[in-house]
Amino acid sequence: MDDLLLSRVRLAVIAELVTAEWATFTDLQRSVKATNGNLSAHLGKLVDGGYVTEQKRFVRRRPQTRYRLAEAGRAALLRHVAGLQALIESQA
Amino acid sequence: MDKSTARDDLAVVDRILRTADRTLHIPPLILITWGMVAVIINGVHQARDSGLTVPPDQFFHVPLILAAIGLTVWAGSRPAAQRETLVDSHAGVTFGVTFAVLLILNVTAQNTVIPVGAMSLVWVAGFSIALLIVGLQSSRLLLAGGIAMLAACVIAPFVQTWFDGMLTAGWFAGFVVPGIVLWRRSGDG
Repeated sequence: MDDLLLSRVRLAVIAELVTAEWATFTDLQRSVKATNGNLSAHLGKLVDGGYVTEQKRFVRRRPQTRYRLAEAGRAALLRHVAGLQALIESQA
Repeated sequence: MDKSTARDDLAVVDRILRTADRTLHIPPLILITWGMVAVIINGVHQARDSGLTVPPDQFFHVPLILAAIGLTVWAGSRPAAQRETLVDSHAGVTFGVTFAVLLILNVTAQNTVIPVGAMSLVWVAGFSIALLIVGLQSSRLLLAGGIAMLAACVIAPFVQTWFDGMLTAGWFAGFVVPGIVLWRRSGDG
């Protein structure tokens, strides 16, 4: 299993990004239901780990940060889900 | 990690994937622009067929298309406030590929193999397919537009005197009307 995805918030972020081309911080906060600081910290770890790409830009003169799943993140999610399934089956 | 936590984690992933956002955020200005380009081109053809004096095609086709490409690039490069879903990128690819294939066919085969009238029909048919594909995946409005364009394609050959007029109506119903509706819904164009 993937160490970075052992956190449920980070796992939810990666799963959310699988379904989106780009998602803003607000989108992720709405779906993951985490506080600003908490989500920010988790996203920082995912960006540092190369699982997520971060882009800062201005939309209608307001700053916006958006995120996209990197190939490493997609592969990590697949590995992690396979690991979870194997764990459930091994203990069944 | 124990079995219960693993099950809960898998349930989280499953819920997110099942309830994925599949909404379409196509810029309405692009639909309206290309719809109006096609409406003007086919409308002028119909006016000519009806005996009215209209400028030759080469006077307005290229400037119209260049203006539409400029507007499309501008509208497409404007950063969107909302999320960009996978449906958005699939729609972009569908419309882009359809446009490129039809443009290549137009440049290479019109007047040599394909008569002008048939090429107009192929453009409408091609974009009705694109609208139907995108509409079936994510938007009833674009689906309705695709059906309207397909209907125009089917009816047009049976009303020879209003052939281009029927295609004009198809473009208007398929692109311009959905574009205006989406514009009004988004409130910002």
